[in-house]
Amino acid sequence: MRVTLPRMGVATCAFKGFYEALGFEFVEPAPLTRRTLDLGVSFSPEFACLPFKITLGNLIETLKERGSDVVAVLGGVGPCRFGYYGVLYRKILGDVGFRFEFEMFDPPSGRFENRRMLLDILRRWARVGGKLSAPSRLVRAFYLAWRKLKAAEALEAELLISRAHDLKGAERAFARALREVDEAGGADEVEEAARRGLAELRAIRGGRPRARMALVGEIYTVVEPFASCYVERTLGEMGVEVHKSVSTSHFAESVLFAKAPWPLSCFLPTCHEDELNPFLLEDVGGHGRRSVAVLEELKRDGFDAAVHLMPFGCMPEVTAQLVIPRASEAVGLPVISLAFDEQTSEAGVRTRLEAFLDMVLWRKRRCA
Amino acid sequence: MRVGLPRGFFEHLHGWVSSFLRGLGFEPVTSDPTSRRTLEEGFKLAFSDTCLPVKIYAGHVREALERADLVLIPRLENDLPMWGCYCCPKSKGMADVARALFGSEEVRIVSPRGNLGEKRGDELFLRELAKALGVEGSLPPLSPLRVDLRRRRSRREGPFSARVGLVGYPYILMDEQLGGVVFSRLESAGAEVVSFLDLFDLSSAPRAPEEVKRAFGKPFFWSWSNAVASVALRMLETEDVEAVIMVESFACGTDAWVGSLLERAFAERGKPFMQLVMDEHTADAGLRTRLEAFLDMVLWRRGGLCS
Repeated sequence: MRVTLPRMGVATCAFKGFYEALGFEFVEPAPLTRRTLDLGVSFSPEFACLPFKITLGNLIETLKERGSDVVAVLGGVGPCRFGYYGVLYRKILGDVGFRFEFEMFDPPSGRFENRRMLLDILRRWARVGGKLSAPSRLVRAFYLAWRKLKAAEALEAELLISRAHDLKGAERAFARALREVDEAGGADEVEEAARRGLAELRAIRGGRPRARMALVGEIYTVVEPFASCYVERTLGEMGVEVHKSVSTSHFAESVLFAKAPWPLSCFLPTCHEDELNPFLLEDVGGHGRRSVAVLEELKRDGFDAAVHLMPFGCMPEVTAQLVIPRASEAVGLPVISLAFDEQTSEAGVRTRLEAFLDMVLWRKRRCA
Repeated sequence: MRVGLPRGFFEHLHGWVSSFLRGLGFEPVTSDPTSRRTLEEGFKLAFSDTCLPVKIYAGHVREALERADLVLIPRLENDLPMWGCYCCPKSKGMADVARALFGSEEVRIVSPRGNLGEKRGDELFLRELAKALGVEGSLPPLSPLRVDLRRRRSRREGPFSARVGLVGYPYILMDEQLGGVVFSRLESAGAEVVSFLDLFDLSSAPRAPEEVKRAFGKPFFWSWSNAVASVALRMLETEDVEAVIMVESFACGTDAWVGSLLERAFAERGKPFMQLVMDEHTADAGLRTRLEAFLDMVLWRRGGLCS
């Protein structure tokens, strides 16, 4: 049985590892291009957020070119719009004329539970993987996927630093290491590939960078470089070391697994998310509150500036955006907010980042 | 002491909160209906990519700050009795946004916490409100939640050319510059308007998420979205309403989902549905043209225009 899901940065290889270990054939989602976005835009509601448009376009391309029996997506409980993506994917893809089985993972309790869907999913997994071995296979698949996710993210974090020193070399080493992680069949191989890749990337590091900046904001625009017009690469080209303050594994640990029901919660890796800050007290969904809270931490860790990324009209982040000027001033960390939609161009983003970097460097010299 | 109540997001609670405030010995003061000036003040304050209602609310907060000693901006998890749902994230974070926008004035902003979606949430919220205002000792009777939506009386007597449903969030429909304009344009074009404000009923609100779930497979996360969608779905069922217009604001996150799902549901049943997106640039002539074209189409479908 063939399964696919929308691309999401380096996490894609973890999802692939998971489904392949369960016994599915994983259909590699199509690469993200301008065409993906155009397709997504033409089938989406006008004010849908950018991640929805990209992922929808990605699903359409994948289903059209490669076909799939199952489409899997994450659900959610709001108040961010992400949790409702699945409902619209299903309707829109159905209207376009695709036939597929649909998997949406909603939490098994509360107002938005969908037990029937969850049972269907488990039954399908058991059917594909063989009934008797299902639980142990599930655990193994989860473990492998988790190792892959952690390894891929560690490699990416190292790439974002070493790119400031040798762009081509770092990207080559990263691509090779990521491919090895992606192809690894067992957790040991994953570790081995990651270790080799990390060593290679670390060797590229050298000297002090021009500046160190952190990406904060909405998770998809931070995690998937395509969604932010490759901000991280542009910054790397300008000699800036970049750090991402949100990641897929962090999201899983602090939100998905942290809310898992007992006894599942005993086995899952979790982390406590400290979002408390004096500027935005309310949890406005998504990573809105974290975008503000993390600024103080970044200042402490010696970052020179933060780049706040968000899709245009993102409800949690737009709320954070209004609070950020105040937090930025109080904390003493320059922040630039960039909103992305289908109109955003790479050149426009580059100009703004160059101006921002000039200002940050000027400030650094003045303060030094 | 005067307590300012800015119109906009939490306007539906004003009647309920006002009577409680009076019981406590405060004088509630509401900001004036949205005018051009409110809009301009709001745009100056909230200059970012946020939606129109946030900008309008900022304008009303400014006015309330001028008029009253304290201004009430509640921190509500949910502003309707609808278990498990939320306010839209923007209205949820409004108290913090206002603190950031008004700087040193923030000491005059009173923001009690609450969740009207929970059992006894209304009572707890009023207690929090009293505490935030520094009232100690015995409280006046805590009245149960009341939702007041300002209904519009039609100024025209029939006969009408068509009966049109008007749906949208109360802070949009009740706003003079947004829903109010649509309402009067529709009336002067000869239509009878049945609005969400007339049909919303607090006692049936808790059931709205289930109605939405039946139609779309999953309830919306936002309580007002559920309320609006359930009324729109009822308009879809009834013969009484010929066509429905949904008034939305530019860059509204929740309406992107609600509007497009309703549009699909209406299209499947062949009933006219229009999403009317309002922003600060919406001009009267453009609005009138769109509404007239929509009404013409409704009449033409019925054969009224051709015969």
